[in-house]
Amino acid sequence: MLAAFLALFCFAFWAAAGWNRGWTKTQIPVKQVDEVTGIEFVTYKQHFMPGVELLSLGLFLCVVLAVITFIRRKPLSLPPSSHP
Amino acid sequence: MKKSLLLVSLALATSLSAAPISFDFKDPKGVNAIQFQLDSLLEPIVGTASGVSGVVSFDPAAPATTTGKIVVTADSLKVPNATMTGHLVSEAWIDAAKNPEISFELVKLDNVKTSGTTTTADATGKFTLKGVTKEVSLPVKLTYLADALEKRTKPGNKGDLLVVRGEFTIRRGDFGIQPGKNEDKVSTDIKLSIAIVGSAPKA
Repeated sequence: MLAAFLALFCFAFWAAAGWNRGWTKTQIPVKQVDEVTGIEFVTYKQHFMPGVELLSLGLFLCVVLAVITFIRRKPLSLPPSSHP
Repeated sequence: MKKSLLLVSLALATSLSAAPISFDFKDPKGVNAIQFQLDSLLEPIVGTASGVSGVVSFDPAAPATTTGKIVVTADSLKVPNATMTGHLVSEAWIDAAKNPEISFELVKLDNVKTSGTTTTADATGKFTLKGVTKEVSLPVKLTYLADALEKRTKPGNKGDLLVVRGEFTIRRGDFGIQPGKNEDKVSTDIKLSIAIVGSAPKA
């Protein structure tokens, strides 16, 4: 349940941060044009935009968490109690 | 006597007006940058190198005689991901610490055609990256903007501008950048686009 919730959170965070299907960006390029020369140049704005590789990592960790939870939930075959 | 003086004056005036102009490409407005692009698994990696400097000598009356050298500081390379930028300038890729400069030195211009303020030509020059120098050819467009400096800077700052545009592709392996490595993840071809402006203030 927790893994499913975290997976949903990861997806929602990734989607809300820009639905970036490329690599994670820590700076966003902003294109500008020099009026006199017509040269198109780029400046960078500090902004975090998670990419597909971070989403994949998040979802992978959720799967690992789910698997661990599933294994731990398995009923253990306890040895017969020695107590009367 | 008067006639010969007049002729000398005319010759001097002609030679002065035909003198090549030296353009400085260290742009105070920070517009100058070389853009590079290489394909990768998810999307093309697009970045810029902004530490541009250099001098180009250009004669509007004889563009074919243009000479010059453009230098880019290797540690000015930047991509939108800080970790990737770190890898790019590291020893494994560009090795900016050992090879601080990337340069292009113009050797000659062929097929020079001028129309108005614009000259197109095929430029051949020596391109140096990561300490390896190779001859490259690229189509270039030079736009000479006479008396346009004050429009970009401040009134009264007389001078000319020269805009240089060009594009060429190199193979990273040719310059010792991860030769034969990670070719399934990052393309071997790097496309370089130049759009820079130089200024020549008039005294």
